[in-house]
Amino acid sequence: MKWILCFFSLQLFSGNLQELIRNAKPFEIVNVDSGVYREGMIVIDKPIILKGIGRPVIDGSKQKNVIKITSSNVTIEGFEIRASGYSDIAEYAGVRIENANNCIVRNNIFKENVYSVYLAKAENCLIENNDIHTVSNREATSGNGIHLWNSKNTKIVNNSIEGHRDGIYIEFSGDSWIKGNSVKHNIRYGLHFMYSHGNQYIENIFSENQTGVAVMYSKHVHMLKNRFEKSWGHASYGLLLKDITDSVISGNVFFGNTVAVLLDAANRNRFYNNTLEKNGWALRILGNSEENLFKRNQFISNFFEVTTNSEKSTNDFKNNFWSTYRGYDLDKDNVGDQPFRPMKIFGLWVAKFPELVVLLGSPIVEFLEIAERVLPILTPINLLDSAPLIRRPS
Amino acid sequence: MKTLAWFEFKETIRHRWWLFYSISLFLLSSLILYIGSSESMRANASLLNLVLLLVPLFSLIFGNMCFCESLPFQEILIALSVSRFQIYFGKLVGLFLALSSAFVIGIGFSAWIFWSDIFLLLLIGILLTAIFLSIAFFLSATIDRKELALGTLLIIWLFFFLIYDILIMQIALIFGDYPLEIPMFIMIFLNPIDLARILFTIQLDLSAMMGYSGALFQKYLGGFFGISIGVIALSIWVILPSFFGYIFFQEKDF
Repeated sequence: MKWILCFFSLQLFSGNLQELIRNAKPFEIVNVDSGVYREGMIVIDKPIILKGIGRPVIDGSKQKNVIKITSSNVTIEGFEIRASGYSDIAEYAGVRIENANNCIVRNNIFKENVYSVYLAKAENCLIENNDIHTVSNREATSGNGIHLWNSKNTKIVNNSIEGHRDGIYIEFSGDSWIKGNSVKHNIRYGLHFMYSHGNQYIENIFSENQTGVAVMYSKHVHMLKNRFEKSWGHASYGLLLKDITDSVISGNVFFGNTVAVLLDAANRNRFYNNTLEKNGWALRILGNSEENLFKRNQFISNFFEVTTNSEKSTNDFKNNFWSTYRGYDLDKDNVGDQPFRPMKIFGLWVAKFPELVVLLGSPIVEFLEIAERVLPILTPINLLDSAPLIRRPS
Repeated sequence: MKTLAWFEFKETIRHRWWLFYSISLFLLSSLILYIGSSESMRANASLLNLVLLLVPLFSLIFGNMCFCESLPFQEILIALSVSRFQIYFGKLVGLFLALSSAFVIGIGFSAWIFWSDIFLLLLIGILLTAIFLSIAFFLSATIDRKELALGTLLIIWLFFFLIYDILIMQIALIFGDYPLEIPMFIMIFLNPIDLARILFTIQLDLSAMMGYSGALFQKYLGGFFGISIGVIALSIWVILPSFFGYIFFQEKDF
């Protein structure tokens, strides 16, 4: 009897979240008690602060958006938001912010949503401390953790995103500030952005995403102190730079990726102080990438350091540390007296004919390297580090 | 045959070359494990290269040496009407047991000291011992002149160890425009040293670096299933040469 009563009270209770919002005055703080609100398609059309006490659950029952915000200055805090709907033609999200500015989504848990947080034409929003996770099976039927479309000045801070298609997806959205997020196990990219200029990515962790991190068609991007790790698979990259220009990639760690960094039509970028360790390929530079500068990076225990497919390279390497460097330093200034050629003939061939990886570890590879050292003419092109470091920079 | 194998085993482990083989394996693998204690993946790769270099070479030379040295003794045994099958396979089995025990003791002892997981490596080493012993027996039974047999063995070792890989490379460079996964896959099976190396490295998930063509290798050589296939293929490499060697040994004039 008690149970039935309890059930009924929940059912009655759960009907009135939309009511609560309708009755609220603008700029009021609306406290929501704990409980399960089986009520999707909630619309917030006035500037209120919606605050969950004891983490109430809002369940969208897989119908459209769970919460849709159409007004500026809305804050959503302390909820568990789950089960947004799936559609072939519309993109339904846990929280969808549309044509609204200065909104805040903070301290929520997102579960089993197709898209979790979706911003369209929203400016100056803050997405902070959310725990966003779901289980995606196929790219076509799943959505992104945090999705930005045409939204300027967004701050995405300290979120944890797991199991979506793209962890964070950003399109046509400039000047974002993305810091301290942990993005893991997403089935496509950890971070994916297109046509988004002037964004900053700082101290994020991208780990075990199926296809790494892909950034495309953007300028003036700053990627600082991130960690890209364990994107290991047939088409996996730690960081895929496609048409990225005038950007700074500095202080990042790339660990255990099939290809740590791929440069495809990426021009005039600067790579400083990155650590590339135990990757299949540390750098893969396609011929259409020019005038990039690599300085004071550390290349440690990668199978292949650098490969490129162009005859002449305009990319500049200087003062990097290479764990395979065998030169000497007579004047003890920590700069090797011989230039280092990071590109080996076997690496070049493997880039062209991937089947040759079967010979990895074969003595023939060692023989080729010795032959190259004796006869430098064998090394394909004049891609070289003129002043390699002897010790690891601290 | 059991008596003969046991006799051969006892005879071999008293041989100074047996001791030398065992101790050198122990020292070299300890050195690798000691230096590479911080980087287990590279240490494993180096250990593998040590095994791929030493085991086939020593098995070939030692197999040939023992076979040729004991020819007068074999003559006596045949006169005592012991069957040629028993003489040939008794000697092969005895030698195999002796050499693989040297290998297991040498590598196993250093792995025991440095706590390294080397089950697959031991398996590969034992199979390679068997393969190259049977190749040595095949050639020693076929070629009558000892020096010629030894020279051929060295060339065969060089072929499997190095020249075969150069051929693979050449083929990839010449026919790179065609899909090469399946020819490569077949070629790997035709060289026991390559097959052993791939079996080992595929466990490190290197197939991801082969792009999409690596899927084939991962599918058929990865995991427990892959190890089983590899072991079967390597066993065929043991059986075929020793069998043909026996056929020639039956016809052999003393």
